[in-house]
Order: sequence, then C-alpha cells, then structure tokens
Amino acid sequence: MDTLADKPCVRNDDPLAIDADAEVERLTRWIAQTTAGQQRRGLVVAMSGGIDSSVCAALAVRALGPDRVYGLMLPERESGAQSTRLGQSLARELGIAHEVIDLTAALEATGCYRDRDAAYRQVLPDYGDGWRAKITLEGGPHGGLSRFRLVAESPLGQRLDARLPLDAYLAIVAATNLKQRLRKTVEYTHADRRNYAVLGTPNRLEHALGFFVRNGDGSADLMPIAHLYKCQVYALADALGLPSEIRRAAPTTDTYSLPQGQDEFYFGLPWQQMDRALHAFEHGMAPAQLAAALNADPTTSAPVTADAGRAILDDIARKRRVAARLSAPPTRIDSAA
Amino acid sequence: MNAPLRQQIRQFVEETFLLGAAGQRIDDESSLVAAEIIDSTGFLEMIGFVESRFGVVVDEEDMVEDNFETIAAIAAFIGRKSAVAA
Repeated sequence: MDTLADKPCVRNDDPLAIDADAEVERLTRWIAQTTAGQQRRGLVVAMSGGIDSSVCAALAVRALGPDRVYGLMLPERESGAQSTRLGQSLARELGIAHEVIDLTAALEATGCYRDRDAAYRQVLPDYGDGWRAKITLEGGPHGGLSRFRLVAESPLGQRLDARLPLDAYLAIVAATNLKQRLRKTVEYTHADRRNYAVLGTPNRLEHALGFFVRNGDGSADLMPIAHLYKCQVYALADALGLPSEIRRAAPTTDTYSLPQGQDEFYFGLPWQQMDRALHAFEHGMAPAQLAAALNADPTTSAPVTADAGRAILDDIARKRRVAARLSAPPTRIDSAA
Repeated sequence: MNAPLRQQIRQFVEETFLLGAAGQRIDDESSLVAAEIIDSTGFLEMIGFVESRFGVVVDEEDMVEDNFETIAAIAAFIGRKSAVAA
C-alpha cells in the first residue's frame, strides 16, 4: 500500500522531508566527482538486495554509467535466500557486470561458524545441526543497561532463549563481524584489480549510531547515503524507480540464521521511530518533544512517555560514542592531544 | 564493612578498566561513565564481577545504570542485595 503515512519523507510538512529528485541529482554529481578525485575508474558495490545497497548501486550507475560499476553478491550459508536473487535481479536491471561469490567455505576455514556455535552451546547446550538462532537486545532504548539474549529454534520448532554472559556474547559478535569483514576484503580485492573505489552503503542511522563493523561494512572509499535518514533512503529508492520488491522488504541484518530485524539487535526501535529519535537528538529536542513526535508517528502503537523519550535519547548518546570509536583512525603517540 | 567493599570494587576497576595504568584517581562518588572508564560492555563485566565475587544475583530489574555508575553505588547495591539474601 502506498500511502502518505508510509512515506513521511515526501510529505511537505514533515521535518524529514526531502526533495528526492534533487537529492538524486546532487549525489550523482558528487559520486562522479569524488570517484574521479580519488583517481579511481569506477565503483565496486556489494549488493545485498536491501534498500541501502540497492539505492547506492542505482546512484553509482547514474553517476558513472553501467560499464563502470561492478556488483558483488556475497552470500554465505546463513544468508536469506532472497538476498542474492534480489541483488542479481537489480544488477541485471541496471545492466552492470556482477558476480556471486559464496563466502561459506572461507568462513568455515576461519572458524566463524564453529566458534560461534560453541558460544551458542555454552548457553544452550542442545544447540546443534539444523538449529537456527539470533541475538536480541534488551534494555538500552527501552531503559536500563543494554544486554543480550540468545534466541534459538530447534529443527522441530521448539524455541529456547537465555541471557548471554559477556564472553559468549563477545564470541558471537566477533564471529558474525567476521562475515562483514570478509565481505569488505573481497570488495577491495575486486576494486584493486579494476582500479575502482569501494562504495560504502551505511545510511545515517547506521553511520551515526555505530551499527557497522570497523574494517567491515564501516569501511569504504565513499559513502553516498551516510547523511540520509532511512525514510529518505526509501524516498530515493522511489525516485530512482527501484523494483517494488526491494522497496517493500523489511530491513534485516541478514547475519543470523533466524530472521532478525535491525531493531531487535541494535536500534531497539523500528527504523521509522529511530529516524524520529535521531532527528530529535541532533536538533537538541527535549524528551517530551521526542515523545510527542513518536506519538504522532503512525508506526507507534503504544503511547510513548517523556521518561521513555529520555531513555531513547540517552541510548542515542551512548551509541554515538560507540560510533565515534568505531570510525576513528588508529591513535598514534603523536596524535593531536 | 563498606570501606573494604569499595576497595575491592576500586581494585577491579583499576585492574580491569584502567589496565593498571597509573595516574588516574577514581573517586567513590564520580561517574565511571562520564569519566569514560565504563561503557555498555564494561557494565556487563562489572555485573559478572559482582555476581561471581560477592555471590549476588543481579536480576533484570537491577540492570540500571544507577546501580553501577559509581563505586559507591555498586557497593550500596551489593549491600542491599546481600541484606535481602541474608
């Protein structure tokens, strides 16, 4: 269903509204100038079938033409079945050369699945072949200290969950971060051989709040949508005429074997509300103002109190400190004090 | 009883978060968050320390920053939990 409520960023009275056509034109020029300025001859884009990488790929093709954009689909055995299919279908539609490289064998060789499954079994000893799992966030934006639970489903459909102790949590995150880092390594290999730059696909929520992996998806030569709220990325997807299947899909992390929304694992709120919350934080709004903005959002089901607004803003402040650390250059002894 | 408790917590903070680096004086009442000594992962380490060293069970409702933000607050939290358990 296309309604105005689905698309706050094209409503003139909304503070997040943008002129999507003008922004596409501006980014198209910027990408061409920046790539040339970096003395690269084209762009490599990893295409997950998600909205962010799809918008980035389409912008890259507008900027440089299809002959100077190379698409990579980098699935592994736990990727959603539709990721590669959607990525390939968009690459064909954009008319770009592309390649599917399955990373499963490399992740097996580096112990990704083995180490992570050992951490799962530390908490849920029955976890084994045919099980699926994910981790979910508690506290944080909901108030209280951030902590995580492991949710696992047996082959027979039985669901178990348990609080994750720190060592198991760190082992699981390290193993799943390896997926992002391996992807980026492969992207740079293909960029090197063509003298291309690597296009980074984080949006503003991810970039500002640290939902990226250092030396993984947080690494790139240029990031054309890191200034755009998620709803603005969707507005660009419409302006670029991306396939409706891509524009309609709910964002997922595509990192765990059980389906997992970004809100469950990191943000704690659906992206529509996270857009509002980050905008409120960036504009110095009070907790009650954020609560009012969230209560006016059609995706908010239960009323948000000022106290809840304060917990969300406090959590954003914490996440921004994480983001700054994740994106900082290496500290040297002669770094400016 | 509280002074040695605070001393044990301070020692944990100095060894675990400051890695024994000399020169940083930690006041019992000053925020470990504001001083950028402890982050969300640090809180989980602190909770693990409190549970294993003092035999205190940290329940879901206890997992708020107020209970773990200063050495004094952590000591008071352990005191309250121990009194309830006793």
